[in-house]
Amino acid sequence: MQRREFLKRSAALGALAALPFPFASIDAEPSAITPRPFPRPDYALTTAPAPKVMVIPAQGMNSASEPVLGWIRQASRTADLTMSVCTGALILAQTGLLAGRAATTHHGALTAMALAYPDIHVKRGVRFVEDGPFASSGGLSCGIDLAMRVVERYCGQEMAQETARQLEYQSRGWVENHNMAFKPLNCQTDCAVCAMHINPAKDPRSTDKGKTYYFCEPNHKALFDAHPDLAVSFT
Amino acid sequence: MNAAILLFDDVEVLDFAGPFEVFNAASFEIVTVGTKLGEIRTRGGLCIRPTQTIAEPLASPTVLIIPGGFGTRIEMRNETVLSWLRATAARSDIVFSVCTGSLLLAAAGALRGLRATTHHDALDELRSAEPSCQITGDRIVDNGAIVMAAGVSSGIDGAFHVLERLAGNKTAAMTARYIEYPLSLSRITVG
Repeated sequence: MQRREFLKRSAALGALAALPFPFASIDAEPSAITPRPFPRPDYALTTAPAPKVMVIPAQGMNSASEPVLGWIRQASRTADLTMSVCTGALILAQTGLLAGRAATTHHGALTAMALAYPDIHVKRGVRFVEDGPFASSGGLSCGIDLAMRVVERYCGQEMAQETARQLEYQSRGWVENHNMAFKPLNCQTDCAVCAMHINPAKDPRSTDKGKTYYFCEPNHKALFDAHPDLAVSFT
Repeated sequence: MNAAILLFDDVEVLDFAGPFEVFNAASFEIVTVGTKLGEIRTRGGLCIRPTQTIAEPLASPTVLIIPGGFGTRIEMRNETVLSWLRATAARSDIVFSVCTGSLLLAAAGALRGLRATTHHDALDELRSAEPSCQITGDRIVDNGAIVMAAGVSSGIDGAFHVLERLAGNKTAAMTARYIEYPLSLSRITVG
């Protein structure tokens, strides 16, 4: 797990601490050399008990191996809830379990997710999305709000309020579910897929209905070109 | 800029993970410092292996972060930890406590005569640990070299306050947007 993903995992953990769930990971041991505080998983995938709540945080790469995807698919059959945090949504999407369902992800990955998975209803401007036994949160700190919502689902609103009071958590994101981080792109300065800064002089571009869109890399241009109408709806 | 985070058994996860993510997203170098060799078992059972222990040399931190949790009641009687805390605080630009990390600062004698805050359930404990400090109970208290956040999630707001002081309003706002955190909730008292 990269350093950048720590809050996504641990914040959900903070709010879910009341629920006695163990943690599973691909490897049961941390790698031998790491300068970062490294969480040691309780189980490997091969030994992990079936989870009631499965949390998929952002990973170093936005894709997972077939054994990991297979484990998620199988564990989700008996889980009450399978939830992603941040770009963990891209892993969950890769399993195929979100097909036909609504989901969200970090604001920088919304368009890429919508374009890579046209059969998922990708939602903007929310802190989390719930759809049946699946849920997904926006970027990083949104995971706290989704975790609060999960506590509410299990234990009721009163217990969730008490959990928030104990954590001194003042954000109303888990009740109001409105995400300020999403904002319309400036298509002259931002990649139309991921919102990274672009250089109009040299970066790849496409034209749709007379308007020019720029991309930080050829892959994002290819995603855009495959579904220009969908892409434009996210700009 | 660099941040050092003290870790001990029964530390509260969000107390250090919140500030970790804020300073990490703002590209600080971050070192976690364990009070003992080997892994730390946090409150809630997540096991973490810190970068180093308090027995090893540490570059002077821009921010020294002291999280809270039930473990502070043990560590506040650990003279090795307290003398490390005094020595390291003296060469840090800002010492930043979260939640009952306040009790460690009090035990180290760092809060004499200052305004202070801590988790809402620990106000009396802090008063006993340092009778001379003025406990406001605010979400964030800024004494200059010592910044204190109240309970658990307040540490995220406190970290943004420290980040704003060190790197400016624009960096703090961009970092908040990156981690999708609504910043307007901070309650700041300047001591």
